[in-house]
This record gives sequence, C-alpha cells and structure tokens, in this order.
Amino acid sequence: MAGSARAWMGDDEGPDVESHLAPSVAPVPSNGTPQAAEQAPPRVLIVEDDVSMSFLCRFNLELEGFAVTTATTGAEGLSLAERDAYDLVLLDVMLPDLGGHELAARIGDTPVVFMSARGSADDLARGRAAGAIDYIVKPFDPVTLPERLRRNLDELGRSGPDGVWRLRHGSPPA
Amino acid sequence: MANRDTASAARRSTRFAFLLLIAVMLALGGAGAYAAHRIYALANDRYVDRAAPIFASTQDLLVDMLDQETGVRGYVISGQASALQPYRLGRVGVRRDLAEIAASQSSGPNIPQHLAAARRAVARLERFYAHQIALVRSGPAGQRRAQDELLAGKAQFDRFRSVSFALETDAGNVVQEARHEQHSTFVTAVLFLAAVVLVGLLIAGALLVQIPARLHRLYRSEEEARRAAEEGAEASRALAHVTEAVVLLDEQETIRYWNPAAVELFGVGTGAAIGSPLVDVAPGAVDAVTALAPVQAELKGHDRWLAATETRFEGGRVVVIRDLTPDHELERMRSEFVATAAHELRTPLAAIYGAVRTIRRADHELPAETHEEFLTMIETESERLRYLVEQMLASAQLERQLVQLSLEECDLGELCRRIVETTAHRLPPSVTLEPSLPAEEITVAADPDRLRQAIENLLDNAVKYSPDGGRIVVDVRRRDGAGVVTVRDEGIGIPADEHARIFEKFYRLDPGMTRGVGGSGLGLYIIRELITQMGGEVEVQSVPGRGSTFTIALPLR
Repeated sequence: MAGSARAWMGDDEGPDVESHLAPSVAPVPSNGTPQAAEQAPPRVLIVEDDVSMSFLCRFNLELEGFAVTTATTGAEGLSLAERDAYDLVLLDVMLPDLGGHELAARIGDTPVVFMSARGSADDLARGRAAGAIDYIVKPFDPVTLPERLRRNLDELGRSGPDGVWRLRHGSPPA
Repeated sequence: MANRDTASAARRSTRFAFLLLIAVMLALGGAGAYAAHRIYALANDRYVDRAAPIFASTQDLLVDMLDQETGVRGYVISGQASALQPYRLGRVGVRRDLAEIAASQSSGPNIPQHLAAARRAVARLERFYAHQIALVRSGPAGQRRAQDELLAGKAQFDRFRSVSFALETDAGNVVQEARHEQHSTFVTAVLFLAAVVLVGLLIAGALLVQIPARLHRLYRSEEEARRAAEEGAEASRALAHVTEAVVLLDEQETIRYWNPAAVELFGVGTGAAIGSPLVDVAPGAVDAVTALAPVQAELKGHDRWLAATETRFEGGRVVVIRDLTPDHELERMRSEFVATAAHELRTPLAAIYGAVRTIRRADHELPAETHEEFLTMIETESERLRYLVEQMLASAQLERQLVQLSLEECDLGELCRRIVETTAHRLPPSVTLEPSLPAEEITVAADPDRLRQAIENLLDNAVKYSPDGGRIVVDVRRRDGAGVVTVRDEGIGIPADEHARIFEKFYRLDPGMTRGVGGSGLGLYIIRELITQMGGEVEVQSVPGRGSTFTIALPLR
C-alpha cells in the first residue's frame, strides 16, 4: 500500500499501481535526503477516514523521509498505536467509530497532532484539552506538512507540548 | 365598580322617597282624623253642654217671669186669688232656671256678671209683685192703687228683659266662640292638610319624574355591568386560546389570572395558581418576568428557554411568557448546520487543494500516472462538493416547497439494480453489498430521478456507517400493496429514542461531531420529504451496535 496513489480511491487494484509508483516517487528511506539517511526516519501514524486526505498526507510525508502507517478507523488506529511505537500520530478529529479526542486519550504518551475541517477557537481548545500538541485546520497545504511535523517534533524535544502549541497557536488555552 | 355604586345609590334614594310618601299619607290621615275629632268635640262641648242649657234656661226664666207677671196682673185686675196660680208656678220655675244658669256660668266671661244682674232684676220684680199682691189683699183701695202701679211694673220687667237678653247673648257668644274655634280648627286642618298634600304631591311628582330616569340609569348600569362581565368572559376565552402563557400579577406579585397556556407551560392548575405568589407557583418564571429577556429555566424537570414581555397598569402588570425552547433549538440547529456545512464543504476542498499543491511541488517531478491519479482525485472530490451543494440547495427548495415532482410508472427492481451497479464501483473494499432484487416487475408511482436520489442517499449512509467487513443488504419486494426497498447495514445503529428525530432537518446523532462520520444532517430529511411527497413512507428500525434498517414503501401502480 505504501505510496499507492489509488489507495485513496479504495481501489482493490491498488497493488498494481504501487509497483510502478513506489520506487520513482517515494525515495524514502533508501534514496532520502542526506539528513534523513543519517537518522532513523520519524515514524508517523495517520488515522483518517477520508482516503483522499490520508493519501495526500502520506504521499507528502513519505517524500520527505517519514515512515508512515495509515489507519481509516479509530479502532484500527488504536490497535496499531498499541502494537508499534510512533514518534507522532496525525489524527482526524472525526472518525467513524472512536472520536479523535477519545483516541488521543487512549493512545497515551505518543504526541498527537489533530487535523480537522472544524477550526473554531472552541474546537482548538477541545483539541488542546484532549492532549494534542498541534491542531491543523483543513484545508491545509500537504506539501508543507512534513516540515511542520518535523518542527513540532524538534520543538517538543526542546520545550514540551505547551511549547509546540505556543509556537503554532500562541498561548495554550487555560 | 362605579356602576354598582350608582345603582345602589339610586335604589336607596328611591326607597327613601317612597318612605317619605307613606309618612305624608299617614300624616294626612292623622291630621284629618284629628281635625274631625276636634270639630266634633267642640260642637258637643260648647253647643250641647254649655250654650244650649244657658240658652234654654234663659228662655225658661223669661217665660217663668212672664208667668209671674201674668198671675200678678190677673190677680190685680180680678182680685180673684185663683188668678195667682201662674205666679206661684213661675216663682218655683225661676229658682230652678237661675240654678241651671249658675251651673253653666263659667261658659262665658260675662255670664256671672249678667247672671248677678238677672238675680237683682228678678229680686226687684218679685219684690214689686209681692207689694202688689199685698195691696190687693188689703182691700179694694189697695186693689185700685195696685191697678194704678201696673205700668211701673212694666218698666221693671223691661229691665229684667234686657238682662235676660244679655244672658241669651252670652249663650249666643259661646256658640259664636265655638263656631269661631271650629272654623279656625277647620282652616288650620285644611291648611295643614293642603301643605301635607302639597308635600305628598311634590314627592309623588318628583318620583314620577325621577323613577323612569332612575330606572333607566339602573338599567343602564346593570347593562354596563352585564356587558363588562361579558367582555371579561370573552377576554378570558380569547386568552384561553393564546399559545403564550398570560399571567396577571398584582403589585405584590400575586397571580390574579393564569391562562391555560400557563397551566400547560408550568404544570400548575388555575385553582392552585390564582391568589398565590408567582414565586411559589412558578419559581422558574420569576427570572423571566424580572429580566424581560430570554432566560433559561427549569420547568417540569426540563431546561427551557423563556422570554417574557410585560404591560404595566395601575395596580399590577400583565406578563406574557413565551416558551422559546423550540426556536432556540432550531436556532442552535441552524448554527450547527452552518458549522457542519462549512466542515462538509471544507473536507473535499482540502483534498482538492492538497492534490493541486502536491501536483505543483517544485522539488519532485511526479510520474504521469501519479499525476493522473491526483487529477482523478480532484475530479472526484469536486463531484463530492457539487453533490453537497446540491443537497443543500435541494433541502432549501424542499423547505420552501419548490420541488416539482413528476410522478410516473417506474420499476422499483430495475431502478435499484442500476443504483446497486453504480454504487458497487465506489464501494470501499471493506464493505460488501448484497442485493436481493426481484425477478418480477414492481411498478410504483414515483419520480424516478428523485427516488434514485433517495435510495442512493440511504445506501451512502449505510456505506458511511458500515464497519470494516460490514455487509449492506438491499432488498426490493412487494408487500402489503406497496413496493418496498429495504437497506440494511451492520453499522453503529441508532438509539430508539432518536428514531423519530433523525429525519428532522439538520438533526445529527452527534451534534459535536467529535466522533462519527461527517454528513450535512440533510440526507434523511431530503429522503423523507421526497418519499412523502411521492405518497410513500420511510421508516427506520435499529439496534445500537448492530446496525440499522431503512425502509422505503411506495404505493403500487
């Protein structure tokens, strides 16, 4: 599935596409940037039921040297998060089964970045309250997503979750 | 109130006038009786008891004196002793007559004086008669001398006659006096009676003038009271049908009126409410009638939004309390809808924007196939955007009753076969679709495009809520004179108490949208509206956690 452009369409023929797409467009990890090659690639879990969005994020993140795993439901995301360790979870607030907030709470220590088409101050405050370090409002530019997540991870190491939130959204809500 | 006072005042003064009239009549009767009695008593006392005896005795005295004179004169002329018989009788009669006059001498002021004069005259005459009788007895010379003195006796008698006349005059005076007194009594009585009659006439006249006016006034005030009562009843009836709670409060905030809508809203009966302080009857309403702005209150265990308006008047105020909860709920759903719509539109927009940004990445050349995939994504998501916009427009049109349906015969089985085919192409791999379509034709009257739209909507919902590995069954059959399409999923299901509400516009099982899948909140509303307008019905059966079954039934053709 990795790098499959047709994955977003839910096409059963996906594996055929993957064969010609993966090597040329997704040079990660073997053909990654020197920087990426030196370190272990950041591991990101994307939990997003909208396959288009999920694919766009995955595609751009992989281009920038991230190791990406995707899930389309909260339950799937939770079981993946429990089985493997991730540096960051990119989580859609609205999922068909578990709510994004609930999932964030159950994932534990892994930093969570929410993405949602709902972007009011209340929504952001709820996201922060649920433990997210960042909240990305759709529509956003997926090309700049890898850079944003990389800086979030750097900032998290320097000044913790509040620091990341402050970087992105000003002072965290009380 | 004013009417009642006027009426009772009129009644009181009329009663007083009648009492006065009765008193006047009694006075008339009393005065008349008194006057008659007095006149009778005067006549009896003065005429019979006093004047008549004096008069009669005086006459008798004169006669008795004439008898004496006749006897003496006969004796003087004839010398016969038998001629003296009248003289002796007269002497006895004179004593009796004088005694009788003396008994009544107090009747007149002059009578005692005249009686004394009469006694003297009688004594003088009797002395003269005794002298003559003595002369006749002395012999013929004495008889001659007595005959010569007869004329002197006449002068004596004349004097007596004048005294006796004065006595008669006295008796006449008593009668005169009595008559005068009777006359004055009569005049007084007549004057008094005339005055009383005049007063009576005045009262009667006043009553005659006043009573019709008073009756009219009484009638008018009674009429006004009746009309006021009727108006009160009409007002009460009008207020009974007002959907807002109408409450009349006095200055102490005590309830004076409580209409049926208030009974309904606050769950307190009229009897219990009227006369009690508002704060005791409906504490929830106190904030509303104080703030006069929408406030939240707990009524009958539920949170409600109340808004009150008031009209003040002397002595209290009328408060109209409206239950704003439905409006508030609609408003909340509307704003929720705006947020939902924005979210729904942003989701495909995010994919389109993301795809375009990815295609135009400067740092990576995309292979032609990948490029093509992103273009397809843009196309599909644009289609999704178009669909959402159309759904919103459709619901707006349905709401304003602008949708024109063209009903025609259509085969339900064939229609569903085509829908299943197209849906199968865009089905997620984790979901399977199991159609169960009839071999026979099931012809219903429907607008094929709209019916297709409705069934596709149901299928989209089923797909959206299906878990991984979930089955969706589409069943078409004939049942109870209807063509029935059933779409069954194995999704999260719908709690029983939400079954009715999911067909409401903008209604979402999960208003916060923190979980579940997106949706405009319009799909089921549109389905129900369309099917209902085609003469059909939509139903839902569901067990939470085990899936939902939606049924469309359309009349057979």
